Amino acid sequence: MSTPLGLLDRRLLIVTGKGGVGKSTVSAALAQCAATQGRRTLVCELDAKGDLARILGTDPVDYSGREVRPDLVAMTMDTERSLAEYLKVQAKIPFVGRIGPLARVLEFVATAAPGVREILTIGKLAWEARESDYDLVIADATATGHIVGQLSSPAAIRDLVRLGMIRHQLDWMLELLEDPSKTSAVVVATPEEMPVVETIELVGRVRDDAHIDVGAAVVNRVLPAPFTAAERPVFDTLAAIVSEDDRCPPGFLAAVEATTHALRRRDVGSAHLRRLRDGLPTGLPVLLLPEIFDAAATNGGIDLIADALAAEANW
Amino acid sequence: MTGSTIPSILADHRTVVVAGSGGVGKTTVAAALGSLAARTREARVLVLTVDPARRLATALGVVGVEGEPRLVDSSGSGELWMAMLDARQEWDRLIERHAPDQQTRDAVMRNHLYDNITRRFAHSHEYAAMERLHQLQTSGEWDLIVLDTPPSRNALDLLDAPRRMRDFFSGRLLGWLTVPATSRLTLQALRPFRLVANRILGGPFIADLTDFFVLIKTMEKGFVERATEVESSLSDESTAFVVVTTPEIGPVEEAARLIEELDRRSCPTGAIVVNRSTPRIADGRSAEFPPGLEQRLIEGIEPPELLGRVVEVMHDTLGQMRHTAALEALLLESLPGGMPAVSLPMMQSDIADLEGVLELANHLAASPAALA
Ligand SMILES: Nc1ncnc2c1ncn2[C@@H]1O[C@H](COP(=O)(O)OP(=O)(O)OP(=O)(O)O)[C@@H](O)[C@H]1O
Ligand SMILES: [Mg+2]
Repeated sequence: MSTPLGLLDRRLLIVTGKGGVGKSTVSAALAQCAATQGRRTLVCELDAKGDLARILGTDPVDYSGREVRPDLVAMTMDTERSLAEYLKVQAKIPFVGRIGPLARVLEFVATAAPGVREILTIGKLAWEARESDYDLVIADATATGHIVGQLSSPAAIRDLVRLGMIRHQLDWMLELLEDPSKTSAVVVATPEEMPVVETIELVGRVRDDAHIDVGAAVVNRVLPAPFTAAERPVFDTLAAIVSEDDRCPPGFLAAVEATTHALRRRDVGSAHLRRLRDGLPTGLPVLLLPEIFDAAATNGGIDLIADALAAEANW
Repeated sequence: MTGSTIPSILADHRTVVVAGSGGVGKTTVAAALGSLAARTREARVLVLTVDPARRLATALGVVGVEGEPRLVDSSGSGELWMAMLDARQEWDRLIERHAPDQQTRDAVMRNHLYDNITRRFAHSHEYAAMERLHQLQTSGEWDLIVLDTPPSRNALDLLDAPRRMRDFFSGRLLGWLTVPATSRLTLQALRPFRLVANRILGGPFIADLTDFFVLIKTMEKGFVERATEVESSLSDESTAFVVVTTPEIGPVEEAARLIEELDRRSCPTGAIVVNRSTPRIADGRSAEFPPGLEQRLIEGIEPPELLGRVVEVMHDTLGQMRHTAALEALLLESLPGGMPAVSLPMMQSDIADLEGVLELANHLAASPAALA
């Protein structure tokens, strides 16, 4: 890859993948890369668990957002506040207090009307990407199970709601979301069984069901190869000799055992990685990020991961 | 709970709920718990799983038979069965059961919002799982049911599902939405809500919704009673909770929160399972070159000059692994003590068949030490 990957030229990036694979980590790394290039960036954690701020090494953030480093604003989603903002700014209903405690109204409407919570989330992101002065909005999105529903909520609601002001707002939202030069999904996986299976399926569904472009797959936590191609057979021979010779001291045996374990894990991971590459559409860029072993000693490793990402994407 | 072990927890309860944050291996652990029980007891054991790892489900033969239990293993003293939740089917059954008449039932199922709503309705997935569990518990067919909980951001959504269902029906808003058009007084109070809703969502959509909820409201009594029953069965002493985590900060924090919350609801955690731990490699100084072996190695290895480098990498790898294991141990200290805790090692490959499940079950059987 000689030309830099154009992901950061989009207006909206949606980072998704199976639970726990590193969506928040990858979102933070993408955001750092964009901000480092001087792009004004908003990164938003949709499930509001607080992981994103922790990974960025900063105090918790909320819906109002805070500039956590130059050109990088972090926020968390809050559908209740998104509704209040929507009613006030777009529906021009200033006194939301008059329709009862907002939380309860929202709880009810979200339960009753399919897609309302989802649309409040996507709507806020689309609004920031279109109306504010950010160059790039990055969504640290929900996990595999919910993301397609969330991303297709504007289309779903457009089919259900035939009138009302939300109708024409959906039109510009869909225009933004379905334009691959403006919006892309970034799908994160780890080289393990289920994340690979789910990722392959997810890429298809994001494209076909939600009509959103997939810009890249990121494989996180790839284990480094301990040996070069020339060293590997040397280790194999050594392990064979040692296993049938009882003169070996326990410390040395332990090292053989640990290395055997590490190699086998790496081999299993490589097989999953191959399966992932085979299952993804041809031409989809696949970026590899390393496992960070001593996260505590490296400030959570986010700088290392951002550097690795920049190197992989040629930024 | 002092003195209890995983096998004794399995022996002393009729329901074991496996909880923890997403991606920690709940399904696999649930299968291993079930398999352990079925091998050591003369019992019919059912693992009810939600959203399982597909390959595991395929290997165990439960794909494509959603809803119905399948016999997976009968080679032990008992029988291991597995079933997969089908949330949609569960909802159809619920409507069937609670609808006052055939006409209402058909009207609900035909309503074009039904599909959408049953997937979101008051945490519908969690409620469907609770509902299915209750059915199976009361069927009298099972000595032990192991419930693998649905993936959800907050594992407690599951416990809250019945309460949410009750709240939904008793909420003022449902009343408002389904109020008869003739009640002028209520309509007056409702005006602002309706105005906003109509303006944003449009009148016809609100009308569709109203129709649907008028139908649903006819089933209130059945739903609410059921929710209460399901809820009480969870805090019953025949139910135990097993919390699963991996030795990573996010899942451990979630596990600690979960344990605390379970305690608050008087459903104390029976055991903690720490899945995918870094294996402990036996101690011994990660020493020098084995003296007597040196000559043999140098002769046997081609090209010999690489040997030094390979040995260096081996010792680094061992150091790394010990370091990781120590960090994990430190992290686990933040979990509450006083209950059995079992570490399951990171397996060398994925668990995708009965054999793998049995291997994990062996680890679970090993007498656990309580966390300090
Ligand atoms: N490359 C890596 N090396 C080592 N650890 C990592 C790496 N990437 C992520 N992790 C760790 O994995 C855990 C999960 O990462 P993260 O919170 O980014 O995942 P997520 O997909 O956002 O999870 P969730 O689905 O719960 O939101 C964290 O503890 C994180 O520190
Ligand atoms: Mg996250």
